[in-house]
Amino acid sequence: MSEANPSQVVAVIDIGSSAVRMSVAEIDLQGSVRVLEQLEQPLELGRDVFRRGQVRRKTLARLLAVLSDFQRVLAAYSVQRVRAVGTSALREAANREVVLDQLHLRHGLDVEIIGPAFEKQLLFLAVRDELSDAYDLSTGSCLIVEVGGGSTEITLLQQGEISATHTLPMGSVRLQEIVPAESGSPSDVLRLRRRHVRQAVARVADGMDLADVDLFVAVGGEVRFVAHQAQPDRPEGLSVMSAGDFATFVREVRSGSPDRIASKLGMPWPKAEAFVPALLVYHYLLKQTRAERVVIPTASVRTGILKELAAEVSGLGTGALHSLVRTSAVHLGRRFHFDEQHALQVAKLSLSLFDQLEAMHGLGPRERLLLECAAILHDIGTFIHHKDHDRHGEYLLQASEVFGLGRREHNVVSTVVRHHRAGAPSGDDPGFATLSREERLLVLRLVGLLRLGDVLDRTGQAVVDEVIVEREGKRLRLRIRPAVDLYYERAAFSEKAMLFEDIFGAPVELA
Amino acid sequence: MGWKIKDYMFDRELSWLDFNLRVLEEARDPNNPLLERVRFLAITDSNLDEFCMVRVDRAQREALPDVHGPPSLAATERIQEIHDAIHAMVEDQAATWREVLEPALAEQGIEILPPPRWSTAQREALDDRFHTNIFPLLTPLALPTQASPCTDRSLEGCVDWPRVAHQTLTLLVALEAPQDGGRRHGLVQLVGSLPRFMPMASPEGAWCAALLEEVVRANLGSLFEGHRVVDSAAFRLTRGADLAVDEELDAGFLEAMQEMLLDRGEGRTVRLELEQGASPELRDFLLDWLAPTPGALFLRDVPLGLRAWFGLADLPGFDGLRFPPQPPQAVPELPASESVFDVIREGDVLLQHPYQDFEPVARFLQQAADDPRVLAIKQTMYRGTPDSSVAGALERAATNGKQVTALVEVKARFDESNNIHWARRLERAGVQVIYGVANLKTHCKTALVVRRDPDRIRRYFHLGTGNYNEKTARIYSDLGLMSCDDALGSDLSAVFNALSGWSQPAGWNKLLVGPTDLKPRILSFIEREAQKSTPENPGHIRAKINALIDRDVIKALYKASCAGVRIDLNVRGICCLQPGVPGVSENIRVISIVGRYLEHARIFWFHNGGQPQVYLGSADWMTRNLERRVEVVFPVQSEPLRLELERILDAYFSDNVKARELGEDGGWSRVQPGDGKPFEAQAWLYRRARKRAREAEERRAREFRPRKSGDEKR
Repeated sequence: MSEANPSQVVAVIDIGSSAVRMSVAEIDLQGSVRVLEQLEQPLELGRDVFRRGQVRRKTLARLLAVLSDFQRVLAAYSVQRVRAVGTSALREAANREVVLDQLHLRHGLDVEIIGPAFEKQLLFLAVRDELSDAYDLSTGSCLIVEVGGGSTEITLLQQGEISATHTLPMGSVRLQEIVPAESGSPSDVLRLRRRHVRQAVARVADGMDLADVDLFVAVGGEVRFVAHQAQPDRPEGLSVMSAGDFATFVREVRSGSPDRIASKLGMPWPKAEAFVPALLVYHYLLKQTRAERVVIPTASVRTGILKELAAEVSGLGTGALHSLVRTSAVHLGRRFHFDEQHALQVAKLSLSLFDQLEAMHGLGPRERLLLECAAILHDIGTFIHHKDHDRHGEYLLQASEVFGLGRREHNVVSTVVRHHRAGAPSGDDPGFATLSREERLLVLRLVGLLRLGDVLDRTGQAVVDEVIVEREGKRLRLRIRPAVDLYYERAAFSEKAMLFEDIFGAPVELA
Repeated sequence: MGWKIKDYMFDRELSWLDFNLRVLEEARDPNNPLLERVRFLAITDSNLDEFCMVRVDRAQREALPDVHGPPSLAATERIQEIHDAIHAMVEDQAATWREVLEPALAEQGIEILPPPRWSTAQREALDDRFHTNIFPLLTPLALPTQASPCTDRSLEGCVDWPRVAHQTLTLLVALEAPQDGGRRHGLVQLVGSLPRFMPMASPEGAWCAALLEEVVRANLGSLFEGHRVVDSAAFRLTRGADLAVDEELDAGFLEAMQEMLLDRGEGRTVRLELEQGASPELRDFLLDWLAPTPGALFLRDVPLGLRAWFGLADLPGFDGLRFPPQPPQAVPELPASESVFDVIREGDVLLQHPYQDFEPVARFLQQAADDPRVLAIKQTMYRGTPDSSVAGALERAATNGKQVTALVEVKARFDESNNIHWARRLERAGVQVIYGVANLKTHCKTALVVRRDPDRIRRYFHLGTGNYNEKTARIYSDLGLMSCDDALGSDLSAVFNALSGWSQPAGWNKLLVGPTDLKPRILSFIEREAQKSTPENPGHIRAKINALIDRDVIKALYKASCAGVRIDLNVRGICCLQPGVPGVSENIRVISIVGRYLEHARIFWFHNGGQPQVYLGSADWMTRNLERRVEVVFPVQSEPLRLELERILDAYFSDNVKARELGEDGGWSRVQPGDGKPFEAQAWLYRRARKRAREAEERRAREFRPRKSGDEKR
């Protein structure tokens, strides 16, 4: 066609634990997304991985076949951009690389494995967008729950900010592996599954303030189905159910066999099996809250990715996204009682240096975000003990989640934290060693910048308002405002600047 | 509820037979033109043929002893009742022909002359034609010469005994060898390609003919030379053909279908029709040989196979004896000069066939085939004819490089050979052809066009209650919707993805799709009506369907009736629901319309507390349709179209000419005009279509329509 087309057709493929799904959407110049097709094929990836640790050859063949079918849909629309992601099952598969290689070889598809934190971020973005007209998320406490096949992603929002996140290693498929249908009579199985879910939910409630939650947002295919059932008129988009109706619905279906559910509710068979396990997770989480309503959006991880693609296509910024990650890092810091003033001061100074030295390091906005996270979190290890707090910080981070960071990004941040104090990281450090060469270079550069920022607030008093980089030939001079006497800072400066000087090959001094 | 649902259900087969009686009534109705009455008679016979081949076959088999033991008493009693009802019906049929139609036709100069009335000249002319045209096509067969044919039915298939073709007029002949007087039997099958009526020289304005079987009978001697023809009898055998291909085995499915077609001689004997004048000797011979179950022998004093009387109804000339032609009217919204896509973008369009032309639907696909903006076309074909313009459009679209998907349903009963031939041709053109879904018959009628409009991608579609078949579109009364609604279009894409096996259906936005959630949703609509019903604002359901059989739906309707919901049903054929029973169904009224056109559209209307909703679709309220078929029922959301459909429903429920009402006792009685004016829905619909077409034409003739530069060229 000769005329320029104002819109672009993109596709997102999500290789999940119980199904492969694809959304094809049209994105216009304003960045609005219109979904054209939604495809879904059940695939027992989760069953394979949760039971045997890896994807069976047969399942892989089936996955490849499903993707061939999907390709035909892509061909009809001549889709330009396809983004493929894999979640918990693929993440955990021992033969993950084999699967990824095959997908690349056979379909030219580069599948990105996304971690739970990123998954939650994508979902949050999509949910927030969908809820924005009807609900004010900036007040009260809101819980976003997505029950997937392999895991349940939980995000707690307080006063509009993400205050806690949790990944429950339990989903509709995994629950069937933990308590298999063959483990007893149907009523025994149900009882065991209920107990298991109850216990897991109780552990979540220990670490999260669920009792105050007044808005319960449930995301996922199964709960969407409930919304459809409850409303014969089938409103498009957001559905709302009272908590009481939801509980009644769960009670009515939970003892039904998959056969019965399939025929009574007109549900395809593979879904019917996962239906009750998924609903149990929502049900027990809901019971922990005081929410009177369950809000059921249509959002999914795919919607979140489509939003990202839309941002790319339309060239609209990612500022909102970054601020989410930042907030999440601060909340994590608070959990470990960090010195918030110091953390934010170090972040401010490091970023200022980052911005002024852009020509030297050549890094982009995403790396800037990683530096910011590392700066905010660099001292959380003191929660354990001041001694070795860099090491403590690393493992605390590894056990936590920063909302919105990819798995590898998260590793970068924790490695930067690990090395923020002294010495040069080497291949002997287990964390550093697992990074790719590019990532190591990134870590070194970020550490260099972070140390300068850190040393400028050595007293933790946040006296420095501004740092200005002045150049004299190769030499850099840092001038600070207000021009106070920085006795402690000066004492440690040259030692802390050493790594920076090595990396960037430029001597640096404090004016 | 203190009652059991099964106590308030009419038997479906008996209800079907009642329907056929309503058709037969049309054959007796002096208000219908004479040759149309002949056509109705032929319809009853053709209906009965199919009914015996499938339903009676099944009922008979249920009444046979099997490995589990003797049949149930209920099954035995039921088949007896069915047989009795068929016997009563064919007697009515015979009486209609003999006493009513035959004499009336004679008055108009149309006569079928029996041999005694043939003049010598006529006889000679017939003999002549027999020898030149008929004789070469006949294959007389001699039957084995056992003293008495073996009564073991299994012998029927063995080499010596020829296979009697299904529903084919056949002459059994008793022969005697002149040398020793030895008796034996012969068989002459009058294959369907032979003309049943052999016209004879007749006076101007009249038409006389002899029946094929009489002409052959008069010339039997030349077929069995060397034998003396002693006796002969015409008979017609109906075999069971309730097709049961094992659909689990998908590979070679098509081949299996084709083999089945060729082998159709295999089915068991379901019905034996024999002319009443047959001698006891020949009758016993046939009974021994073909062994119909008790009650399945029909002695008839009219010619066999009255379905051939369609030929009489279509007799050239005599137009005055038929319905005046009602050429389908143009659809005012879709003038031929405009792009169908432009029109649909302006608003949804409702099509009413056969009152309105089917041509815009074909045009929709033809334009899509040639439109460079179109990316993909998807279409379900329940029954396609090889020369269909729709098929041609799909072929062309594929050749033009569009992605074309056609779902061809090969199990459309008795039409299989057409379908397969047609599908192969499409495949050769590059169309992706899907031969149905295992275990599910695809019954939905839809065509979907994905088009890259200048501003965005849009899906245009046609959703119908009838098939994409120009022939039936002229006889069947159907409705269609053309729209580009996003939610419905997206649902339709999902339907096709599911049919292609590319995706499992997830949930639907607005469509009701069988077998996934169609039935639960229909039930929930009925329940909702009951819930919303109050004495001040009672609920109301109106439905127009072809058959009402499903027990769960009937139960839900009874419950709704008990909750005070008024329920008006317009059921063309089988209705198992028993209306007007106090405490069960007193708020339910059932009427049926049998008229010039075959009522086929399904309309579902719910009062919904004052916000009425109306749905159209391909699904009847039969368990088969609701649970074992891919069906699509869709909402008509546009306000003007909903109002239009309400007017159509009003018309169907106001009919007092062609409507019959079902009584509590299962009897049907004509709705009387009483003091009001006679009102016939089908006639009204046609008048209306004509008026609208004419008005639109006049409007256009007077209108100045400058071409705007923004107009899209197609």
